[in-house]
Amino acid sequence: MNQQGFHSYLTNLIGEFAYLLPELTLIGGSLLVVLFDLIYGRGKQAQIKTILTLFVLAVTAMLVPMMKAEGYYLNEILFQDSTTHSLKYLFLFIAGASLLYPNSKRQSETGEYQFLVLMIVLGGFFLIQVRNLLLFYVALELVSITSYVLISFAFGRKGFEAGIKYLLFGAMSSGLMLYGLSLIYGLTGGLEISQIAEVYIQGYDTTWLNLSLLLFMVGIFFKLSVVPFHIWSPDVYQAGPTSAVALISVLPKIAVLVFFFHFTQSIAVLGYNIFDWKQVLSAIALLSMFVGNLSALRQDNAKRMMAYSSIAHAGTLLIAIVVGSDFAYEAMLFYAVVYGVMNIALFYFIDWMEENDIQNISELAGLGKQFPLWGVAVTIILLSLIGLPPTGGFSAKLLIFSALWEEYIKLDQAYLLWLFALGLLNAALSLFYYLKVPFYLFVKPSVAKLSPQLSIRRSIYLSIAALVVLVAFFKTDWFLGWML
Amino acid sequence: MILDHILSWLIFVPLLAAGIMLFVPKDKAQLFKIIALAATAVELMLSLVLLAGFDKGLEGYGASSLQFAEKMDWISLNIGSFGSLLIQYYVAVDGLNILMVLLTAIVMLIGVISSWSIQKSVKGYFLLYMVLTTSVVGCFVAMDLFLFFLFFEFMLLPMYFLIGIWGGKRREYASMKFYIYTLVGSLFILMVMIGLNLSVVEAPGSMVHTFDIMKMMDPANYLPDALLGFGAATDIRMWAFVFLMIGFAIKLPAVPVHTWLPDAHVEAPTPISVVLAGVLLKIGGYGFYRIAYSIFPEYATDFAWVIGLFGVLAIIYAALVAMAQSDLKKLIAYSSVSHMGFVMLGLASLTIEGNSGAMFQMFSHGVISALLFILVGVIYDRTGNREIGNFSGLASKMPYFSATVLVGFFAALGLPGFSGFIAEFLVLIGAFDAAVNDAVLSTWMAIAGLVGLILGAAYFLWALQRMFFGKFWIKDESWNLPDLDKREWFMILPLAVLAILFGIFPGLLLDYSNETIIGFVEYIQSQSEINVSLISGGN
Repeated sequence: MNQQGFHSYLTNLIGEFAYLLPELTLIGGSLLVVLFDLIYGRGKQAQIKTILTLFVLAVTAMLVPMMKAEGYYLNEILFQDSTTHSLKYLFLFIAGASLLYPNSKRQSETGEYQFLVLMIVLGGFFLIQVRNLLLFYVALELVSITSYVLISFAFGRKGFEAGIKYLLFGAMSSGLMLYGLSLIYGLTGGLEISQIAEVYIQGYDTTWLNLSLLLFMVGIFFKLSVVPFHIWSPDVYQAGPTSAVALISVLPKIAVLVFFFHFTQSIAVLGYNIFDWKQVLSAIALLSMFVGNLSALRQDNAKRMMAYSSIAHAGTLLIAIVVGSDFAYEAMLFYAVVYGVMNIALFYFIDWMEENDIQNISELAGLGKQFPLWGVAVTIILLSLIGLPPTGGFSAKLLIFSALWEEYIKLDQAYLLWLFALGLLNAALSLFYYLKVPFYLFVKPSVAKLSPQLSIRRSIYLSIAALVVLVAFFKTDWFLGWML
Repeated sequence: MILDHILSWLIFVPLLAAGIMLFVPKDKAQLFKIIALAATAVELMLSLVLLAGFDKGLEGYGASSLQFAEKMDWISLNIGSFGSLLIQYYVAVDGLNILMVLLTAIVMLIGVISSWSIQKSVKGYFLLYMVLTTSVVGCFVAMDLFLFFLFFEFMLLPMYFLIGIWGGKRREYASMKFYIYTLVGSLFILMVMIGLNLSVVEAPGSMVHTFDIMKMMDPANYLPDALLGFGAATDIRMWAFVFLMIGFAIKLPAVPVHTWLPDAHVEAPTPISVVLAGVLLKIGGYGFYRIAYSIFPEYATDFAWVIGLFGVLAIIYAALVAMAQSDLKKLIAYSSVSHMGFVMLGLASLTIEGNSGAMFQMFSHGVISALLFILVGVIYDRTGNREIGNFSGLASKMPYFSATVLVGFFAALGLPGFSGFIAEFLVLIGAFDAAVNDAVLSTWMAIAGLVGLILGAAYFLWALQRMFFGKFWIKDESWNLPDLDKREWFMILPLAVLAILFGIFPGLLLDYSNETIIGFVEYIQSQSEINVSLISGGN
């Protein structure tokens, strides 16, 4: 490369940095929040800090459509298309919504909390754009380390214990993943995910490649909290602050899932030369659904139940990866959006429970009659989590299972049919525990031990979420059109 | 003008009423009842208008014989390489469902009157009741499988709450059991629905995947390499048929998946029992016709014997179980299972008589079972008890009530002159015909059906004798037993009159369904030959 060429290369590179404007805004904004905290002192102006953070999120949202790269940029490390933009909006929305949880006041008094929320969004932004394994690892660590700290924000023994537990498991899996990545690098000499496929063409022994892929996937499975890498999640969900749990139950998962989809697309080229990861993924998906749903049956603590429910949902989302078609990608994105809204909304409900010192679902007895609108809204959200019409959850499941069926027709592999039948059966299983909430709300007589309070604002927010979930069913095409 | 969209009105009037109720303050209990009554009365009027405008002479079965059709694109999804997916708002009636619409309107109206005594959270109750009405009507008239499924599922939640909140002692258990059973059934249907949608397109050569049931009936619309098409994988189509049959059999319910029904009935409040037995069960039977048989006609003959067997099993087994019941409501619940067995037997016969009988049975049982559950409600309201052994000689104390029970029981056991007799008679003729001429059923099945009738007479008469005749005695002296009041007369009389009216003039109803039933039977025969040849041609 001569001097002239290098110069233009550099200019291009610097020019392409402009595409990172939303990310840079997040970084700048997060520093601003920390500075604010330093200047005005801890514990004060929590309201203003939250508003400032929301402002940063809003500015970022405005910048997303302004700086659009279509395709690869920055030396083919990053990739953008309209889907990444929609996902960015989704992440910004989720982060903003989690900041609005009224009961998270204690966390928001500490400036780092908002800073960390912005960081997790930043990590999410990179995760969906990277096509390079090293940068993926860095982004993933950004998300993970922030999550460990966020979970500890519940303070007290329990919170720290959960944070440490999360950290230990997370560090272990990160280590395994890094080991896998090193092996991949050693085998291919490259870190672009598209390069992995070239290994076989060059004629290497695939044993090592299999091992490295497996190690890499273990790391992913941990982040998605699918069986058997799920043991951390119930404890973490239970002990963590609700707003943080809502955030980490959705954002990192969707981000990792999107990256994983592209990753599997590139190794799909290798076909049958590597181990049959599709079957492995199918087994893990089924296991997650069964273990998640069956364990959730016995939970009375709302957050533990949601932990198991999210394990089951991660299993369902894995189906899209097994299928791997364009249709499946769309279905997965739609599912992710709906799931994001549902989860944020349901944790909002749990936030209200905690505000009124309610930990267990059975303590909700009779409250639905006291707050009918609130109860109906949460019932709609739960129906969507089960996947019943007329809710977006049903459309999402319908799309994913349609994609699966189509793949079965194409490949005619028996395990896909099993995945289809047993996966649907899980919808019936999940009915038991999700329905427990409206059951206690409406059917069980009130025990009248508590006198919970409910602000109008809460009712309105949850009703909006319920409405979104309904619209996602009646106007599925709007959502899909927006995503793609 | 209103006739153009009469079906939409039928579907959405109750929902509209529910919308109005939302804005009525909670403490105006009477107003909710009046709104509900008005809405269901409008439903009945609309369905009568529908009946009046219905062309009874329209022959054939399929898209061309549908009347009052409304079709509108609803959701259109572009799904990449695979084409697009179209969900339509498509409602229509023909001879198969017009009577079901009428039945729904009648039973729902009676149900509202029967709900007059509801005290507990009246607003919630009638809201759910209205939503239930909408979904039941929608389910009967939907011609788009997705729409059908939507209404089918949407029935469950109101029902769950109606049993779960306003039910008896073990209502929590019963409502959950109801929900789980029906949901498992609907998952079977959902699986086939997804498969069908991916296999069927709007027109040959198009890439628009449709849920239109009428399109699913034409083999030309199937993609050549689709899983549920007529390609190599023939077994899949058979399994799809079996899955649909299982799904609807749970709803019907057929033995051995009937166990949710007695629990649900026993725990449900009287009006909900009326609705459950009166119309909800019929959706299972209707689903056999409209969906399972219509889309997979080639298995109708192959499975006729098995379906007939399950029908007979239900008739005999449920009748025997009913005989052993000590709870009057449970007895009637089992008699429902037994009577729905006739629907399966009539369907399996594949004859015009048998199928007319099955259709007629659905209507007739809807009216009669509603009557019976109201009669049980009468005694339960007064005493909070319905053990057969706790009562004796009621006839002397409550003569009018006893007389109506006599009428109800006679109608239920199939005495000539009542509608139940015509229905079961036609089914049995069809079964004999099928056994003798087409050999799709065995002769013993028809005979067993006859035995079922005798068993039915036995348990009804025995219960009658134990409770109403003999010396007056009740377990608890403090029970106050006044005779029927005005409101009860208002529910019982129309139903009893209908049971007798249609028993004497069955043509009033049969005329509406006759041409379609003829068309349906012909369609099953001719289309199954075509499909079979396509399948064997594919191999």
